[in-house]
Amino acid sequence: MKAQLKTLGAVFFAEDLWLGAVLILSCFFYPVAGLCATLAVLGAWALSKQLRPESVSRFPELLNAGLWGLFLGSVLPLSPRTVLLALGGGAFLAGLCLELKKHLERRGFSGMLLSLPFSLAVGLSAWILPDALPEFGRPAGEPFAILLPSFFQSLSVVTFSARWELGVLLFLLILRRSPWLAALAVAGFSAGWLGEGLILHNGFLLPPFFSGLNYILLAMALGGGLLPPDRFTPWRVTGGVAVAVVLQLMAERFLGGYSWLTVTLSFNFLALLMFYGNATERLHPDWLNFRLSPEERWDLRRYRSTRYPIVPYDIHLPVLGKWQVYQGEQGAWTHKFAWQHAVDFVLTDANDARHSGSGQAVEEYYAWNKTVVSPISGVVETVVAGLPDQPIGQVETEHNWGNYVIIREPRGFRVLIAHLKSQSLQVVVGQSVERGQWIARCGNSGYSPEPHVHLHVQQGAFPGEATLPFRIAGMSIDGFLPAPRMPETGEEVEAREFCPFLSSASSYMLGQELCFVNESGEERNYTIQMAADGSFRLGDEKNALYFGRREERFIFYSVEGKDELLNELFRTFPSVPLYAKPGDTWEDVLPVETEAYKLKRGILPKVRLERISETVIRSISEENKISKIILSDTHGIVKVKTPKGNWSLKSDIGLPACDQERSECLS
Amino acid sequence: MLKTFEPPRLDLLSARPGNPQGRRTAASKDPVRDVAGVPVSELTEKYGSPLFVYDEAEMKRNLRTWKQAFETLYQPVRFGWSYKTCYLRGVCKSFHGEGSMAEVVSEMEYEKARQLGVPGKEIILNGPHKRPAFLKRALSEGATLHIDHFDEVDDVLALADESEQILKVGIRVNMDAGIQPVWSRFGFHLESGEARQALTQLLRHPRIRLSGLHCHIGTYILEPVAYATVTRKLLELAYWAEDTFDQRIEHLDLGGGFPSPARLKGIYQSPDVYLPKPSEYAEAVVNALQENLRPGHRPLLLLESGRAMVDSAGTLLTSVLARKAMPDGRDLVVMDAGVNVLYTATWYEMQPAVTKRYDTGRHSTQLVGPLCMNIDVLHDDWMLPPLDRGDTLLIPNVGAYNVTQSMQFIVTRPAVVMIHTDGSQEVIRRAETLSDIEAGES
Repeated sequence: MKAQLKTLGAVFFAEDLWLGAVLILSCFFYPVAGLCATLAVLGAWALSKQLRPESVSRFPELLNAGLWGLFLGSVLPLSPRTVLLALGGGAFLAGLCLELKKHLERRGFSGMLLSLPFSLAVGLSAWILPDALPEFGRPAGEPFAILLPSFFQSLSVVTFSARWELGVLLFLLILRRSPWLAALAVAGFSAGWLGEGLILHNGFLLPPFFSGLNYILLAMALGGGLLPPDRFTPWRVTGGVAVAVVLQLMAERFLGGYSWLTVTLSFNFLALLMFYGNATERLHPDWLNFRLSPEERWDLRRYRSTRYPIVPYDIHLPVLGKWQVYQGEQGAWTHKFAWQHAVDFVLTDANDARHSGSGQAVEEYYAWNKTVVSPISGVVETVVAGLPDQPIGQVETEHNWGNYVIIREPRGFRVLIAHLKSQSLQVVVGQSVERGQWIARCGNSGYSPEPHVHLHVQQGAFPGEATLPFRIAGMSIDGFLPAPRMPETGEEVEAREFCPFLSSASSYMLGQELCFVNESGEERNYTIQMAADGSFRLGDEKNALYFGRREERFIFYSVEGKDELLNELFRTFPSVPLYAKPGDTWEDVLPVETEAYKLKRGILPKVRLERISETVIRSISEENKISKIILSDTHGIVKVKTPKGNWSLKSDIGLPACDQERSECLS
Repeated sequence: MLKTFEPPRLDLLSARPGNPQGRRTAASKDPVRDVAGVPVSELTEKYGSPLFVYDEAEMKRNLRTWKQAFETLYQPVRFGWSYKTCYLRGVCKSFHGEGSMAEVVSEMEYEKARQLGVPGKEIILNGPHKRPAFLKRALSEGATLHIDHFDEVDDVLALADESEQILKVGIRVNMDAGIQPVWSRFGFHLESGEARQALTQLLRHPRIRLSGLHCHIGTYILEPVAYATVTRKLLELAYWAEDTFDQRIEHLDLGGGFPSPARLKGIYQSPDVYLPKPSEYAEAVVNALQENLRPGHRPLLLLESGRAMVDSAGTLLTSVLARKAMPDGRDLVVMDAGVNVLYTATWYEMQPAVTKRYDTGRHSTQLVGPLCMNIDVLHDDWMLPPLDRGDTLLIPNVGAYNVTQSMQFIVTRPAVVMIHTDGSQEVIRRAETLSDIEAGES
């Protein structure tokens, strides 16, 4: 029951228990309306249950039916005809909703209907019973004096009761749930009022309540409720409301008795037009989660894109050791226009010089003759190996790539590494190479003013093609392990190798049973099972910690239940890159449902982690609380030390000696 | 203004054997007034004389240069700090801070490393002197062991008999790497088959596994190609072991022996001419690796350099105690530091620099130390201006071995100061006192 009430808040694009409760109660303010609404909903529910017994969410059908009932009860007196119309109409609307949904879903759309069937039904009834419906009117009185009450009244006609007190209550509840939506409501109404005033030149009279509601709902939908906000949002909202103004005025002028059609028509029509216009390309199912307010959806999206970025092409570094990026993406010299997505690497010494001595000979440059490795696992497609290395001061303009190799990645793109040393290529065309395999030495062939390694990604097989954007994974910048990204000019990057210890430490098996004991002797027994989405699940019946390995990170995806140890593990060690060396640090973000988020809304809470030795990883939360886990390559996580308590893995076999344990555990 | 009377000098001209080009002088007549940015006068005032001064920035620069030379050609590679080169805690801590392992050759050095917090897994244990109890401890703590002789093989076999766990050990090998002199007293000889015999004895035991091979060919090696030869021959041995015993090496330890700017006696040219660059050694080794490693095999490359890291970072400040005129016309200057403190003066030419400006000309001077021993000569024939009592001389490139090989003889040993990268000065070893010398006496 609570869940149903909560769902009703989705009328204003964000589920909320109080909002739903107030809306339901307000239906019964006019008892007849309430009664008819109930009957309509019953009829709709019955039909929906009959036609689609397995359906999980009947919200669209019930919403449209409920609105229909409210409408009927507001305009017609109680009579058998009304009752019948309510029931039948409700059922009819439910059927119409289901049909429309079916057709939309078949075409790959999400089946979003808002209250369009309802507005069509209202229009239909205006045609069938023209005399039964009262006139539409504008509120009377001085515009500025009644602007505010008019706004609230417009808000309250969502349940067909034009009472400003209800509107105030609804507005406050919306404000509490989502300040952004409240702001949009105000903006929409104001825009609509101004728009009407500008077009009609009538001294800015207030819009009819239903028009006002249309403007409010449309602004809320386009500004964040239905469509995710982006840089075009202001245009979309003002443009949408402007068109709605025109539609509403036209309807008023030309439809006469059919003006009842405009109860919610322009809102539905325009919102759905924009929605389906954007549907296939840009909308993510996350955005249609009305359980969250737009702000929460925004943060959820940020959280997801931070933790699980969609990385188009990620490759690794083509060199060993610590190199400096001489020219990055969109660099100053040659990485421009179609070839902007490329990186040049050089070696520098302690004084940031790229060469010893005078720099007149190629051998004096530190990058000269250094090992070049394959940044991906793939197949070698093209090799040019015989071009000479240019002396310093000369560049080859004809074969400007010099000696190069193109390797095709199985995912369908190609990596090109250029300016290699003459006759230093160790691979042949058609050869399969592994990531990190030696392929050549850094040279100075082609258009290369000094020895450096050039790396880029392209789609096709010909050198000189346009480059594709890519990111570099598995790199460390001064001991910090960033998420895959393009390194910038001047940054010192170092490739990190897969750490066998971490890999073993994070290899858990299905069916494994773990028992953790804390200082007071409390035990927690967990089992590892497979979850519905293929990730691993550590927990018992009520509590679960979902984890897995993804893109070379051991990652905790989410946690369920209130179990203290599992929650602490998730909060303090959300992910561990499997290529972290002792001394490396990295960061991760925590999801919006955590305590920390509620305090600092809009800022994703971060955790800073550091692998302080072979077996110990330390984490520092935003409140500067320190936690540690101690790993073993045979048993995985053997100790967890958090401010909330210390846990150890209980094992019959006996754990291997942890060399640093004493000093690490004491600090 | 009165000037001190300088008696006239009679410089004997003679065709001396050894250096037809004439007498060598210090690199320039300009005084060297500071060490790592700190004025010499400040150092001697604060800490006395003689004084060893270590420049941490130079130590780190050296390590980084060598690391870069190898790391950019081959991975994985680790450097081990050779403790015997200088096992002062301050120096060792500095290198460990840069990620170095510890290379030790005795129980005392091993204990030192452990007390610094270096875990067993980060210690490489070489040397001919390892008692069985010590061996057991080191192996149980995970140290990388390189066995030196057959008696040690017996000890390890005995340990393996009583142990329930698998012991991972390596052996040291000596060979003809194409250079002279050939060091053949450490480890097992390769060409005679001794190394194979040692491996056979060890690997037949069910609980012994081969972790790696070690070869340290000498000191101050000026031929990078020697390391290439070593790499190739060690890999040959390793693959013989792999084919015979089905055990693949996990590491390859090429030892150290890389040179420093200290000037070895008997070499005609100056170090900046003859010293190969670190990248030359790295390329020789890595070329040999790339040519000889089996596909998919990437053993950990270990290097145990000492001199190349620390020699140029160590300076000795020493003061003049007295001056004499020798009968053959040369000057003799008695310093407060001699071979007791600069033991390597036997093989390396000490090249003292003056620390203040002198307006007079230079003449041949013999520099001796404070010991009442005739062998205590730092330099036989160095061109210096007339020095006054208390004047300081600065001797560069003495960071390797001199501190650890200092004699506790006749005079107490000097203090050692380290100048950190941030400019702060730290006394990492105070000057020795009489109670230090008598500490063990009853």
